[in-house]
Amino acid sequence: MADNREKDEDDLSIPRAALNKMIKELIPSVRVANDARELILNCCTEFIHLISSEANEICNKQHKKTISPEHVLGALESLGFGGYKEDAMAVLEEAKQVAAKKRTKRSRLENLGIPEAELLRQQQELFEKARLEQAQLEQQQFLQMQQALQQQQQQLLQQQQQTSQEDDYS
Amino acid sequence: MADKGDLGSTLPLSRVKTIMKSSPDVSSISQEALFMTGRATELFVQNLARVSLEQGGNKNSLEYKDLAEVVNSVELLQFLQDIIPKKIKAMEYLKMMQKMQDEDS
Repeated sequence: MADNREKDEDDLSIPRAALNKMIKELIPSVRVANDARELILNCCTEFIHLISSEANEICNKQHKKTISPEHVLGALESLGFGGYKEDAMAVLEEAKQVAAKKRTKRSRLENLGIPEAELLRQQQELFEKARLEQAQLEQQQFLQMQQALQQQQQQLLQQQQQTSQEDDYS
Repeated sequence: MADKGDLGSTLPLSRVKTIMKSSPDVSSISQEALFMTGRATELFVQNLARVSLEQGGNKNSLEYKDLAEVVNSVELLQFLQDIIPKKIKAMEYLKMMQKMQDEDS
């Protein structure tokens, strides 16, 4: 059974899980029949169609191309759902605050209150310092290696002298 | 695209948008208009469920007939009447048909 047909527009609805969650939060101790849930789901879809059609009409009358919040508010009012307006507008306020918080968070990380030129300068300083330290470290290692080599050489030399002396006595 | 996580709302806005766009003639919707529609829909569901429960016979359960009753009695919800035919018992239907026949003759 290949279920790869495109979702029919009539099948569109809010996901069942989202609805169940809403109902649970609203009337937690109430048993809600399955066919009642299905019905609420369909009412949901119908409501969205109702609002968007009306909002779209208002939008067209204003010769605008994009449905704006004002159009939605107007639709709610003219369809008798004016009681929702206040709550609906509160959502916009919430959205603005969420967006503002994201902006300050981002800029706080970016700047730390220091201008960019200064940040660059500090970065250069740190790089230079790191380079110097690395150079010093390498020099130290080189000197140590040199010392070790010299010691080895001296030892070898001494050994050689000893063996040649022994040779003389034979 | 803003998702439910942003605002703590329950309805997935992407789905709301898809449903809106399936309405004939609707072209584009601003993000803010989408937020509002989502919120209004939530309020609608909450109201419908709550009122149906209060009007219904049993305060502990919400049945299909409770919803049907409210839709048929509240003018505001007239737009739902097509999708929520009130279920009637077969007996009542037969009686209704009989009555209509009697009236015609």
